[in-house]
Amino acid sequence: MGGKMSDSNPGPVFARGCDLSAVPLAADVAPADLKAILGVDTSNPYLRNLRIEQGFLKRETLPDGLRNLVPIKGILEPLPIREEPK
Amino acid sequence: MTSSSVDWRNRFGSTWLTKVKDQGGCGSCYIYGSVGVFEAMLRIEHHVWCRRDEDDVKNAISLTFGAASACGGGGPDHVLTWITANGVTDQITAPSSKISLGHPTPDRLGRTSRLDKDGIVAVKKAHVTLSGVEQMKQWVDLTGPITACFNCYPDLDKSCKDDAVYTPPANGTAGSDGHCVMIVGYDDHKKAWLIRNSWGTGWGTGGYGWFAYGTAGKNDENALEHRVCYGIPGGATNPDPWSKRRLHNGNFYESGNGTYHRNFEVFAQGPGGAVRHYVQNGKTLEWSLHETLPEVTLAPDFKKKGNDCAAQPTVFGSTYFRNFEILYLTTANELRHRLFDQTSQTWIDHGPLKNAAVKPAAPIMSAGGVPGFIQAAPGAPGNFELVVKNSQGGLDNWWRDDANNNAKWALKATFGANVRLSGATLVQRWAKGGAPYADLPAGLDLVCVTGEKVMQRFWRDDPNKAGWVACETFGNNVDSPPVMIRSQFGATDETVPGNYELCVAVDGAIEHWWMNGNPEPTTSGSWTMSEIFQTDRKGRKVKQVLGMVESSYGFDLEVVAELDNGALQHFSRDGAGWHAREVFA
Repeated sequence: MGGKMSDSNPGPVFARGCDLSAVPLAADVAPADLKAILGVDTSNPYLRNLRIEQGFLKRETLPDGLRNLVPIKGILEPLPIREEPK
Repeated sequence: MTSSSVDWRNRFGSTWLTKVKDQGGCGSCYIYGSVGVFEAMLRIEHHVWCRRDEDDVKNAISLTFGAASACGGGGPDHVLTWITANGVTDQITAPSSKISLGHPTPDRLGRTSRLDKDGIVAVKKAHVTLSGVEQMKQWVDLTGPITACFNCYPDLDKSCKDDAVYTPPANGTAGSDGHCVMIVGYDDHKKAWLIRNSWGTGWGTGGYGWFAYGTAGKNDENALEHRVCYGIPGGATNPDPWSKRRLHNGNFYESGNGTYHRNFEVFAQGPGGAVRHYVQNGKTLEWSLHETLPEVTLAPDFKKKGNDCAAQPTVFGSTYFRNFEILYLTTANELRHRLFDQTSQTWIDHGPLKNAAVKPAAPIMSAGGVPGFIQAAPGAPGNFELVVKNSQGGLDNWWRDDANNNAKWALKATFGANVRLSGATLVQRWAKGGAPYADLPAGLDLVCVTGEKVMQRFWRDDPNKAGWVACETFGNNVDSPPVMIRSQFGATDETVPGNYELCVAVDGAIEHWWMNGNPEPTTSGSWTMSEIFQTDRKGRKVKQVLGMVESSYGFDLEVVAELDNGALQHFSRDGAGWHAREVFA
């Protein structure tokens, strides 16, 4: 896979469509302040837990109802979902 | 520390991505990548399938820049900026019909999911520019999928089979075109990003593929991290009421209002026949009385103002500008329809419903109870459907033809017998095959309480044009109106129907019942009671369940019930079971 393209390589099969001049190089753009953006609540309880575990979101800034309803576990261990039989 | 691997196809025990799409021969990858990220974030943040229509964006670009422009290439930043200004609608009709911004349905504004640039103050945009591996991984781990645009070589077209990792060519290799995909995960063990392409399920591994991290000085200029990526904060997403139409019923609705677009709205009968509107702020979770609805003009001469609400209202958010539509039994046993017009921010009274099929138009009467009242397909805008108990002990199904915009109500069917109570249990079924299109017959389901105090489901069999069909009975000693929704449980993708969820007060407690929604049941569905739960208020009992929602909060079920002292209490079910929450009225 990869490597130099030779004349015998087939052309593209699928359509593309990106004008790369409209997408800056990462090196040319200052990093966004993710601490501020990820420091806000999310409705997703699993992501909320991860943000707390990784230090982006402070639990004490959340309303009571969002602090303890879902058990907090390790970030690599999925939280239990109350699944109903399919 | 960022997770070492993420896969949004199946994470936390749930699925988060819509079915893989195919851009065909059009150079529109930048639209598919951007809309795909938006869809994923709607699902991750609000826990509802919210399939969007790329043609909505394509048609708008074509309208502005010429017919061929949408397929002529672009970048995600422009697409996401356009979505922030205009939203993206659902796939309203069969693709061949070309209904979109260029040829919109009258209710396009109410069928568009939105991006709110004011929601996330730290960004002041509804999407975030990410640069570098660390930011990309943090975002994918803690928020969701992102766009990625890169130098695409022809060898990608036949790569990524059987989960093989694709390594991009060396820096300086000729023969590439620009292409955009979604990054929907990564794996540090594989040292690769998980991408979702827009080349159909025949490409890669079911439309997905592993794309190797770049190596500095070797092939990093052709890697996904070479150019900026774009992510959408979940809190900026605001799903449309049409996508959520099966997820609520009764007097309880989760609107798109509030900082996180997850406010709860409850409409309840107040003193003296007034209608009160309570709101739970989605940021603070505090309940408050938001307003008492304005008085209305009353019969017989409609010169006197007053209130006439005689039972708990039923409410939904319609595709008409996301208006709140409420319906309630009046003190004259009529049914009054009122709406909150989001464009003027005022309440409009449509008055008691009238049967337009007779001359002069006669009021539509109800023999009591809670009306089933929803907006359903077919039709674009979808027709309003109403089922109430009639004076003969049966049920009347009224409908309003919204597709032809005549706003007239007519009787569609009378069915059932020996009905004790109607309830806010009317829900729309899935069209055959789960197709999202409005023009395929789907049918309705409804549960009422019979004279024997058991619950009975009825099914309006539209595909076979068989009318309303009596189905199974379940429960015992039921003497209050039930509330029913179709949840996202079991809905493994946007085409799979979710389970039925029903709550009803019995002997002072609440019974939660559910039934498998896939395949759609015929006349003999099998209900299971999952739990009985009670109020935590000492000495109090639950009188009746008034409303039910499956909310943005992690597939939680939410219920509002009236206690025996007239107070309203909120209950919710998360992964740990049902909880008695605030008494707010």
